[in-house]
Amino acid sequence: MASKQKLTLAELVGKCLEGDAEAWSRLVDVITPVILSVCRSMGLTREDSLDIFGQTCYLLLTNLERLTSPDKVIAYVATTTRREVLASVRRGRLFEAARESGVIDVIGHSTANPEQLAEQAEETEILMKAIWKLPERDARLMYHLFLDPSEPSYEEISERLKIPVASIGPTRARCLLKLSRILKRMGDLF
Amino acid sequence: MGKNDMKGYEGYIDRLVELLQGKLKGRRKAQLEAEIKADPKLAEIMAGLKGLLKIGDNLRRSDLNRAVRGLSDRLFADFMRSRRDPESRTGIRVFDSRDIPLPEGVRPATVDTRRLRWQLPKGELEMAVYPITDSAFEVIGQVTGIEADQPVIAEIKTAHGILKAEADPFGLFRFERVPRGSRELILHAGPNRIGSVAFDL
Repeated sequence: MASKQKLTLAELVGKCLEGDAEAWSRLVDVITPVILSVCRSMGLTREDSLDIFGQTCYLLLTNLERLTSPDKVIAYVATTTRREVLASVRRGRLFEAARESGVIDVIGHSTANPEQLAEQAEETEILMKAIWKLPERDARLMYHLFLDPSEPSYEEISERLKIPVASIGPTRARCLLKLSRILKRMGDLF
Repeated sequence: MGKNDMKGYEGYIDRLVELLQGKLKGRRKAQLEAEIKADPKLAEIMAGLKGLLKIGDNLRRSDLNRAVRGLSDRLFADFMRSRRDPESRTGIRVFDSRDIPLPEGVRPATVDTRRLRWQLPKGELEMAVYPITDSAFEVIGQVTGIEADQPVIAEIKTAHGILKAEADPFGLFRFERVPRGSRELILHAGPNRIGSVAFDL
């Protein structure tokens, strides 16, 4: 997939269905913060979180054809993650004992209380939806600048997005303003 | 919103980040706060930035990022393989405990257990793998969600022949000693193949 292609999230979904691994990788960038924040809000261990992550990705892939709008993909992922956690608890699959013993730590090492964590999970879902209302290149710029765990340099971002290094700085202010306006329209400001 | 409308705002971003991270102090902090109060556009930029920083911090605190990347890449490859060749009944690996990084300061155990899980075209396969010598592993598996009239048979090909194990009524099967290497496990119910999964030992 050519990196300069501008794609909506729906088009990204279409590319995934064609077997495009890079499109899937981009989609994983979108859904990972949502899945991990829900897992964190539900107090899951790292092992359980990875288990739920895999199961949610599998269900997303098998249902991709029916999900055509960005909002639907992100909302589907958030809801499916919550459902899978509850289903796993019912099946006794989660490693409660290990967590209680302190052998395996809860992801994120958060000191926030459960209500705050639930709120954070909802905020993550809303923010990811808002980012994907931006043009694809802007959305990816926001991701790499502020969310990408590998914390890429401007040079690396320029390489990935095929944009000049000098344009990254001015573009980020414009994107942030757009993002804030989208969030305002969505009725949620942090 | 043209490029010129945003002229001058770029210079604020790094300071806004510092402010939100609590790194800006004294006069510089007070001055920026006053500017934000006086300029609605600057306040809007900060609102967007605040949410991003919060989520970015949470993501970076998790050490699962590399693990999810490895898992999702493999999962996608399995998924596409199963779509291209439905007859192979390829299982899609949805979990492998080997992906999980060890907590800081913990050294890999000499004898460790590995847990794996696959989604089959119908049903699910879960396996636990235990090293019994340097070159062989015990493999215990369970198939669930399969409606089969005949017993489920698991087979693993090795250089010395095919190892076979019959699942009990709960879908549990066990291989006492499987040599190290790349392996494929095939599940049958009578003449029907119900799944195949690949894994390394």
